[in-house]
Amino acid sequence: MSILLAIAFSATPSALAADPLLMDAGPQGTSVHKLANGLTVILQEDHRTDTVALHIRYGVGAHDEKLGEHGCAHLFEHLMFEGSAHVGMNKFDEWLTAAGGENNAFTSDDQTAYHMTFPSGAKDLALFLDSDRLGWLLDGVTQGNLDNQRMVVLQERAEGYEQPNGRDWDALQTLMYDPTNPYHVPVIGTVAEVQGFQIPAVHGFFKAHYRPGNAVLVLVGNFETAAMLASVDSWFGSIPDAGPIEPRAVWKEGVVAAHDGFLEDSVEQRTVYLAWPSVPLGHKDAPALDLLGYVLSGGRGTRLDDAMYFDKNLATDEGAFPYAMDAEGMFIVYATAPKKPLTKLASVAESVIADVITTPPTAAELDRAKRQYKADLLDPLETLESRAEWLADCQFYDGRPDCLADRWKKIDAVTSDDLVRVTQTYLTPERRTSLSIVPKGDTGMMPGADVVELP
Amino acid sequence: MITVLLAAALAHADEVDRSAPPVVVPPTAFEHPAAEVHTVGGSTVWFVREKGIRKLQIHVILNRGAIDLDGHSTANSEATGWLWDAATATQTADQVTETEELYDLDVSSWLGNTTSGLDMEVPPEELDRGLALLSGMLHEPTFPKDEVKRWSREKLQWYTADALTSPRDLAGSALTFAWFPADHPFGVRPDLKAIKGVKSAALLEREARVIAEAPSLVVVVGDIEWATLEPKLATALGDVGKPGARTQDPAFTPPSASRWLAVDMPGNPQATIRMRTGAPLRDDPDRVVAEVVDFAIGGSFLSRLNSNLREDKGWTYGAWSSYSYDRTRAHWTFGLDVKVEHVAETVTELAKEVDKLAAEGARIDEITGARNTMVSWWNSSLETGAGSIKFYDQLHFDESTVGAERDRVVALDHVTPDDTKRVAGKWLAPANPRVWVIVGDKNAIGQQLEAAGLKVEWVSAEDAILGTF
Repeated sequence: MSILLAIAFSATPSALAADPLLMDAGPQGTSVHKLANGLTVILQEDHRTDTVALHIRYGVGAHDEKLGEHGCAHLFEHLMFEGSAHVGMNKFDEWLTAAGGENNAFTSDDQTAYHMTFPSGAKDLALFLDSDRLGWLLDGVTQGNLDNQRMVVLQERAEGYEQPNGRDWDALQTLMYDPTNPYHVPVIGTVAEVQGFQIPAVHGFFKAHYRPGNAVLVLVGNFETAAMLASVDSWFGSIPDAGPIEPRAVWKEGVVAAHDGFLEDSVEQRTVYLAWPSVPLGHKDAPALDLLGYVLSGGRGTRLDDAMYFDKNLATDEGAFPYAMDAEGMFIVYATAPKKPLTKLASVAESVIADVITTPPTAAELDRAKRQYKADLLDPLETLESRAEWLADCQFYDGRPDCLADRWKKIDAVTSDDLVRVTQTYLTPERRTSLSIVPKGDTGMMPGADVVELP
Repeated sequence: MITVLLAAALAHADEVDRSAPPVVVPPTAFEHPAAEVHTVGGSTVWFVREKGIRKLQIHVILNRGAIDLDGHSTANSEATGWLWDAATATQTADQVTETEELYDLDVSSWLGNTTSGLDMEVPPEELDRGLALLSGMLHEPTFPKDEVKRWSREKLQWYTADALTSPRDLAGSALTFAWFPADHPFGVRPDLKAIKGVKSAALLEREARVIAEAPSLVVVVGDIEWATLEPKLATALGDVGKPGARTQDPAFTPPSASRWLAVDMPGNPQATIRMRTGAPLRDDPDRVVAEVVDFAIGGSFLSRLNSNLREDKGWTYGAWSSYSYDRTRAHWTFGLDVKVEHVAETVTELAKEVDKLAAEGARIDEITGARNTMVSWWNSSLETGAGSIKFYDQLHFDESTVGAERDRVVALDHVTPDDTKRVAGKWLAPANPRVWVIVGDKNAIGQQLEAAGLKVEWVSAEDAILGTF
């Protein structure tokens, strides 16, 4: 065994009270282990079904791409299924599917995740497959696989972009961030860069980021902790420790000065996004911004939703929410309407935001927002798969898997004054960028808006 | 309490053999519990005690649905299903929302062809409050005028504007209206005038006459003692059950001839392709094998369509199939998006894969994968409260039992390649009527389709959405 460290979060009554997530944990509770090669392993037993959920998270995303590499993190979301040294082409899916398992992956601005569920009798197969692609993927990254998956990625991009409003999010990030900032480029990459990926650079990207020390492996489900830990160590423990990854580059420019952009799209309704640069994940003001989102747009009876939708019928869709990444964050308000001038929608939204300062959220508004926040967090965590994802999130961002109690504590501590303060600090008119989405040929974009060229 | 344990690092992991995939122990089908059947007042209640889930799941299923018009328009029927949960005689829409958000309740209404209902998720400690709300919706819904107007407005916005720009919505509508006749509930053409004219008073009338008088079933799944639950249900829902027969699904005859439709979407560099053909009904003895066939052709990542069109050719991000069935209608649908330059050859490849499966049946590895996947789905069907109640709801809709459904899963053990050849050969035969829909730029794909010998009927986006072709 090459286990370096184990921390057990026992499911004692006090732990239950502290962290509702541990409520369903088996007799071993939730435990964290570190293999000698640096891989962090989190295990949580749950014997209600025969299923095991596996989630492996790598600390690599669009954030880590340099010029010429944009889209490379996402490309691996494809290449990781194409075979490795001991797993032939297409055998990953073939073997896992034959065993009754299912899998998928996602790439974000900061991380890449691979997740699967499988019947407990396929435990060793799942560990074999996932360990082989961490330890020996590059034997399977051939020119043929690369060529094919580049085409699939470009088609994925094209299919998404051709849906109505399919480019909005990427356009917003492009508008918000300076071209030197990796968040400026869509996670899926640019067409030119994806077309230009070559084997040596792709191999180099993998070697730089896919290391045991840059990963968290989570297993939740029908297993005994000790036996699963031994199996994990058998399959993953022999992967060499490639050392720590290089620290992420700090880019010179971050957020572009506030400005207005627009995009023509195959839509019938106009949409305006108002975005303010805010705070990254883990920032002390993040909980207040989370709750501000609920106070503004938590359904009927909340400020923006009533002003634009329930009471006034100004918009057919609208909302407000914060979006935080490792190094940046924004607060976004959007509204969609078929014929209304976007200036009118923006003006109402800005007025609602200004009202937060002059009419601070009441105790009742804040209480509702806190309850909604907690319920929205808990509801999805009933599935093994979602819980595994959550535990990985906690480990990455809080350094421990039982972060729920701490998150709740921070939410509970937020006051109405905090909401006023973050509104005054971040959501000011001079910091506001806008993105108009208009039907082709329509000139109803926000005044002075320049066309957004997606990279 | 957090315990920290430290262990010394040891030299190396145990060696493992990577020369072949590890042996897998195939899953075996669990024995799921049957629901306890109780009578509470006039209501039949199915109850399943499931420990460890956070919220109670309470579904009230009324055996009247979209086809029970009783003189009303389909628009009235749809609006009832959508707005039933909006407000009650004692709680305005604002108050309903406030109650849900403050006390972690989720209540929603829905409408099927022959059934409709109200679903609620409620933490056990808020059960009294939740049942009071649910009872109000069942007994005294109000269908507020503002909400009715909003429903009409947004519905019209979708039919007359938004859907026209969505290639997948266009493809879905055209396929539905080409497959189902206008007198079948799935094929009812949207009546924009009726949608515009929906009134709160009509919804109240229909609810009182058609829905409130429906035979019903209450299904409850959750971590609560029956003795605690029963008196609360008796107070809130004890009178919702009414005698009477269940509405039966309408009869349906699939199209008797193949048809090629194309929807013009000028300037779109992508094309959306759909194909539909008939499939075994829910109670057809071929159903289990058909599910295996579906898995092989388009139900998994490495199914034949995706292997060919994504993994080998890189033309699409994903190709899929879907086998959909109930008592009186069933069909297979195949679909994918491709660049316009690949449209004709994609159609050819799609047909080729379906024809090949029809001629040869599925391989043993495909059958094994289908079997193990479906047993896993069965075993995890009670993983969550929402999953559990869906399982028991489905038993009601299908008039089935836990044992019968498990038998169907166990029957997967005995499916052979010959079985799949027979079933695929019967249902996916090239001679069977197939309806194709292609959404794309006529200028870019018209000649391609013609050159490939495909004579398509071009329809406008408006006609595709409204079914007027």
